[in-house]
Amino acid sequence: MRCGRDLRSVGLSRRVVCALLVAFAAACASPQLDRRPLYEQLGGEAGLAALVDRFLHELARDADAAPQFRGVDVKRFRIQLTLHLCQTFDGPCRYEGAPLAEVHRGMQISQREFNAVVEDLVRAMESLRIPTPVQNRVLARLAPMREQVVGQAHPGMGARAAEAPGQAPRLDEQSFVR
Amino acid sequence: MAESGTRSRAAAGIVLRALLGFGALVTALASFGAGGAAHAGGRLLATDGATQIEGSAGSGLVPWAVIAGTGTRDEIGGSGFATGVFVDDLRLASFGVAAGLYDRVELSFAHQILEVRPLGEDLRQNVFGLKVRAAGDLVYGRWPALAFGVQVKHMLDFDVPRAVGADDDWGIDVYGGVSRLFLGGLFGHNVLLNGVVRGTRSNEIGLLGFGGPGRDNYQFYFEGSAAVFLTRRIALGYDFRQKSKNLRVADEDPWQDVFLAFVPSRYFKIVAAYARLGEVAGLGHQDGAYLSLQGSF
Repeated sequence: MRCGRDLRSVGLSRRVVCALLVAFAAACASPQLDRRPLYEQLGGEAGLAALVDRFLHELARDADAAPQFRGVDVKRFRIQLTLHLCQTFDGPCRYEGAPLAEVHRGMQISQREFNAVVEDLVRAMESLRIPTPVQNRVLARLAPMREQVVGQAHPGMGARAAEAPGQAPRLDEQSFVR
Repeated sequence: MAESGTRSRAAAGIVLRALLGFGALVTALASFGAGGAAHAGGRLLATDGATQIEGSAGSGLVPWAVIAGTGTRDEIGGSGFATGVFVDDLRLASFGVAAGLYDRVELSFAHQILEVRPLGEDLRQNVFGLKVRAAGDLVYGRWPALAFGVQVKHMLDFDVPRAVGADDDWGIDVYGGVSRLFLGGLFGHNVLLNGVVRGTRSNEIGLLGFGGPGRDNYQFYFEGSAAVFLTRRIALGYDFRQKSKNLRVADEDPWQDVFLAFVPSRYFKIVAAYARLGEVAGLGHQDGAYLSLQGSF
């Protein structure tokens, strides 16, 4: 009696294990896990260009993130960002700009601002209907870079300092109408 | 006929009380949060968890090593929740609020009402919680989030617990837990894993008092959660909570649930679950539905 009851009380965990196994099996049986480079999963050159474009639109509209991009040379930023992402996602590119920590030095980016940018990227990927697993791979690749971006307090030769404010095109909706 | 009428009225009563409580709390939060809201909201979607049954940030039954609310390390956030559990002979309503300070410290309060229908009794309990995220992070960096917490519980209706042999009408649970979100951890889907060790003297999380003839000192028990994000906004998960056996007359089983969480925005969550509570207060096989609403800022 007691034993039966105990067995039944753990029955759910067994059922859950079964359900998980079935889920695993289903996932294994479904089309092979995509092992191509992330760059290609994102649609190669055209796909990445579309993503960067959509991402910049989201950034420009984001009240939390946009202020940090004020005065940034959008053309240059677009090129450097594309190269950096292309390299990060195992594409055929080489980013030869300054290291991330240097680029963000002195900007004192808060966790809130960083998270806002991540959410903008997610929104961009959602609007391009990039599958969730590919989105997550993108995020997993970028997540370790947070330490180089957030809270870089010491003033230095950041990319922003190199641009005289007012000279460069401003990051706003208009900048992206191509 | 009469039986089912009473049953549905009882269920409606609990739902109504939970919703009223929730409404009042959200209103209070909204007025309190109006000032704070400008500062909070920086945390990533769903990384504050939902609220577990005793009012701490977590999933259905188990606390996570995360701080309630949407605030980052520069912000103050908070949350309010209402939960109803509807199993064969019991209804449990729980509602409360939590404040999250600088993504570091969580203060929480929850009020629980357990309606034991065969006895016609309500067992009420207040839970005051404190949680500190000691190290690590749920998503970023090398180390998972590590948190320590206490839940101070005070039983308001002690007659039934006393009758079944409980020693005290109050008790303090202490716990330590580790949580991590693995980006793309399972076939590209994000996976959350959470493990907690709790030291406690409580019987049925305190609703049947604390301590008893079977065992009276602190014992340590395991609790865990696993969840898979099927999309950005929908997670499927499982909670397990091992429990004490201090009472001789009423047996106690581990609690489990399988939940589906829906996160339409960072400010609102709905969790629906199938809960399996086993034997509670001498009533066997207590299975049923779990529904929880949460608002956060």
